[in-house]
Amino acid sequence: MTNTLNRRAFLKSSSAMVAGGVAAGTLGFSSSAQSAEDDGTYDVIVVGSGFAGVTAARNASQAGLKVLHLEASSRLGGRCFTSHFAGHDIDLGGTWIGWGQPHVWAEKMRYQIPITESAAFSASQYVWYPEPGHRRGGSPDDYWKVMYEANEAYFAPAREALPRPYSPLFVPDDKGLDRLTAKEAIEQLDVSAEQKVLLNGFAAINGHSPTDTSSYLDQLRWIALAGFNQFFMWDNLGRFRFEGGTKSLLTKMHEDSKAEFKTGQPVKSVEQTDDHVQVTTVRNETYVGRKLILAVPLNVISTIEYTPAISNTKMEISRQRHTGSGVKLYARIKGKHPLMFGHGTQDMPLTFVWTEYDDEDSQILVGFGASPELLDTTDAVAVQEAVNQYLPDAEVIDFVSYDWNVDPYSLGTWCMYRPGWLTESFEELQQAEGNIHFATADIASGWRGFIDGAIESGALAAEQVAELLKEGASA
Amino acid sequence: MKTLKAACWLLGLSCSLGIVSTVFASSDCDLDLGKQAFSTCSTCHTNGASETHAVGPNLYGVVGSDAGTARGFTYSVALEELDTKWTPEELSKFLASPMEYAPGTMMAYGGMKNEAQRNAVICYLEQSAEQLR
Repeated sequence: MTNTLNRRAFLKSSSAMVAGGVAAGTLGFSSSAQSAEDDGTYDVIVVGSGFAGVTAARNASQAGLKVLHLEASSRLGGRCFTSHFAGHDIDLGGTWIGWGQPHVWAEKMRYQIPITESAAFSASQYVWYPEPGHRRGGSPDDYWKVMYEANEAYFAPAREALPRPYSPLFVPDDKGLDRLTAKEAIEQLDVSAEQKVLLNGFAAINGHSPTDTSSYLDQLRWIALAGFNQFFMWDNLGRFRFEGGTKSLLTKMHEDSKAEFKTGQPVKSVEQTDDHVQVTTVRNETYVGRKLILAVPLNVISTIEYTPAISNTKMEISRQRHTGSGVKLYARIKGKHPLMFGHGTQDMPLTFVWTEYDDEDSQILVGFGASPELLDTTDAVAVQEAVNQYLPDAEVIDFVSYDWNVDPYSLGTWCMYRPGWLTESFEELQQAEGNIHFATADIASGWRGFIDGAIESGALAAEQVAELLKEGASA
Repeated sequence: MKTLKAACWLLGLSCSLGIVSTVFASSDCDLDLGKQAFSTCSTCHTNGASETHAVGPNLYGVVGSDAGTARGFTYSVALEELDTKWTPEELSKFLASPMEYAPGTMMAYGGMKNEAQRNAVICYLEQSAEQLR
């Protein structure tokens, strides 16, 4: 696939005309062919080809800039990875989108990418653990009676704390919610013990990590972004996905890019002067650009050497890593079962399990766990046992997972901030460092940690870089 | 594998590696477990004579091959520089912890800790290649 895309992108860029009015006379044609004729300097180098990088490369190149787009691995997608399993295009990483997510939904509409719904949206059987070791089953109404009230209590401070969800620091955090962990916040709520157990499970999967690691204020963003409505929040978290997986949109966006694209280019170091940035790969190949858009996950930023050094805040937070570090697993089970939704405790191997695909003679469950220490997703026996905690009679045929924590180009799953990061470091994380701009879902203002946030961040970086180069050209 | 070849030679048998290997595999392999365990591998790897490379290289015929040499696949520097033949023993060590075995590998996989599963998936790979020989 990559080779095909490469060739297409090259052919497109080779025949490209001057696009837009971004100082074309000075910055030149956005043509790969031209790069051989000049000094080899690009206007912009984009590193990373997740949604943030693909958006940045597409937008910058369509603005008439000469763009080199580098990807470390052999595939597009970053923390989105569409693979094939049991006859389906499944996403091992980022999967779901919603119409409350403006950036990704606009792309979905622009490219007319069909969507479908998770089978569990019509689930008739709910399973939950009101306390460790105690399994309960019931109807959707039985479950939501308990959970709706719990969620309302958990999210109650959101409207006051985050009145403008895309400006999360618009009001001061007078109540110190950012310093509270999700676990501490739940402990203080006036809800039942059962509801606290369920809330801890819910918050653990939101942060993809045990609840004592993530900021309560950061957890409140999701309900704020969903119009302070918990059902609409779920519509944006786990209901709609692309029929052909995330690659169906990503491929379209990438094909629209005029950037020169290279895979297998892990970046080792970045050196910048007043007006240039030099990128060196692990194979000691060097590329020079006027600007760099570093579209790598927050956790990966610290694995690159910078000369001169970039801010300590960025490096230290990157080394600490955001909280997203749990597991996601698909398990195909034999036969037909009622469509189900399961919600366990955060200490169970899988805290959420639901029917994602309902096939003729089998079903595929998707499960989420708060920690890889609780479930070895390569161990057939462990996976079988984890599934049986929700469906005691289910027989696992096969299963798949991807270890995002060890992937050197992700080093984690989706982003949630640790206590204090949002109020103390967020603005710093978004700041450019000289000619280095950052683009990742992990620093988005809105749906941070989501595909939507990645597109937001990539589009912003491309816009900022284009403006700066335009100003420089006209100065 | 080398031991089996040596045994053939010592016994004066003119047995081909393929036949010995198949006999060895069919008696010792848990192919169902191997197939099940390979489902995780198949997110990144194909395993067929006519298949193309995916995110990772096509694993058809990987058992017994030189590491980092599948034609047409761009490996990490770590795998390119690995001077190893993928015997079942070496593959088992690699699969147990790829990133410790070959630091810098792009194979984002923490490792298959269960030895029985590792052996089964290696046998499965070996047999699926043997069947078409």
